[in-house]
Amino acid sequence: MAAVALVGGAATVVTRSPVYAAIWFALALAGVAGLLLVLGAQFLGVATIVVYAGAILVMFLFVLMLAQPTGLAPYDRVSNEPLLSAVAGGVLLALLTVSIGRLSAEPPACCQVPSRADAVAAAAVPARPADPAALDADAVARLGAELFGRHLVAVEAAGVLLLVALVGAIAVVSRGEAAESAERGAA
Amino acid sequence: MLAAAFPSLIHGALVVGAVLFVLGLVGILTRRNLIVMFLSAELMLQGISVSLVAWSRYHGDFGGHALVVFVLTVAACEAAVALVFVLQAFARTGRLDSAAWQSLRDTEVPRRIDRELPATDTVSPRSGHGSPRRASSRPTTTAPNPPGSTSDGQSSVGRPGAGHPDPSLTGSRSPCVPCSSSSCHCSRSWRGW
Repeated sequence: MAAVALVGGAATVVTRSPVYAAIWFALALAGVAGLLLVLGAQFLGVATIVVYAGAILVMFLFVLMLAQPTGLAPYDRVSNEPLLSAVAGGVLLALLTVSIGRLSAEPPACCQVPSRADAVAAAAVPARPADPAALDADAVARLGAELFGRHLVAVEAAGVLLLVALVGAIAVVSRGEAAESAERGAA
Repeated sequence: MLAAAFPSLIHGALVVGAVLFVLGLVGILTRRNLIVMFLSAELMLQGISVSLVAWSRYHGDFGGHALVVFVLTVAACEAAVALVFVLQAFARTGRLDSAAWQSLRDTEVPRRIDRELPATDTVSPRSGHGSPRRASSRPTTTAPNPPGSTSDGQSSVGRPGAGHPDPSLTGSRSPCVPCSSSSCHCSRSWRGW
């Protein structure tokens, strides 16, 4: 699963054609969804497939079909500062990997210097990780209870956000068309 | 190798999340197609989601899961709004190129000039394009230029230390006529360079 996700992600970035990049991104999504399933997040795995691959990616492909010239555009062949950004990405990845690796070899809580990752691990984590099997049973029901109990206000806010995004998108489109027709009339 | 270095599932998932995030970051930094940049941002969000779920499993609660649900929601909103803006940008410039908006840059930042492009690409990358209506009706709007900007004056500067710019690439933008109301109209389109 991790390999599928990583290969898909790498190919998304590397592929020159944007349409192929979107399709590789779908493969990466499938890998991520499988990874979420393995990690015990059944609802999120299915929701990733449904929302991302089903809705967002299809929207991307629609926009690509609306806006993409036939063949490869020149700006798809040339990249901005590839070496520099690869170095930056490599440095960030090395930092993240080192910090994750330090998490596994965590010193005892009495005598550790509170770096950020260690502080997080020491302060918030119980002495041993909780039993994953307890998380897997009725995971979807418990996630729903958590969402609509503790995070009820946030769920309402997310609903409002969706509505505002919908209205905003429609408003931007209609105003853009109005401006376009006004410019055409002026010209 | 990865499994040996990070024995537990959670560490592996954290590393995968980090790699996905970095891949998305590199994609945003390097790619110039607006939609591919956007896909890279979504890739970063996927990496974050994997990390959050791994932490949630580690802690044994549902905080990370709930956060990923909100990440999904915000990503859907963001995709809707941003794709609208991408379409508007495409309607104005005729390209999905982020460098088409480089007149919005700071004044001290040099203008990007595509030297690596093959010579045939600089002529008409839109040949055979599917929306000729915009290409014919509004061919030459350079709307990102505010009326006082001097984009044509900077076009011959190029990068510092780049020697003399190629006239076939930099000189193809003839200067804008003075702006009448809200936008400048050039006699040649942006996609000339």
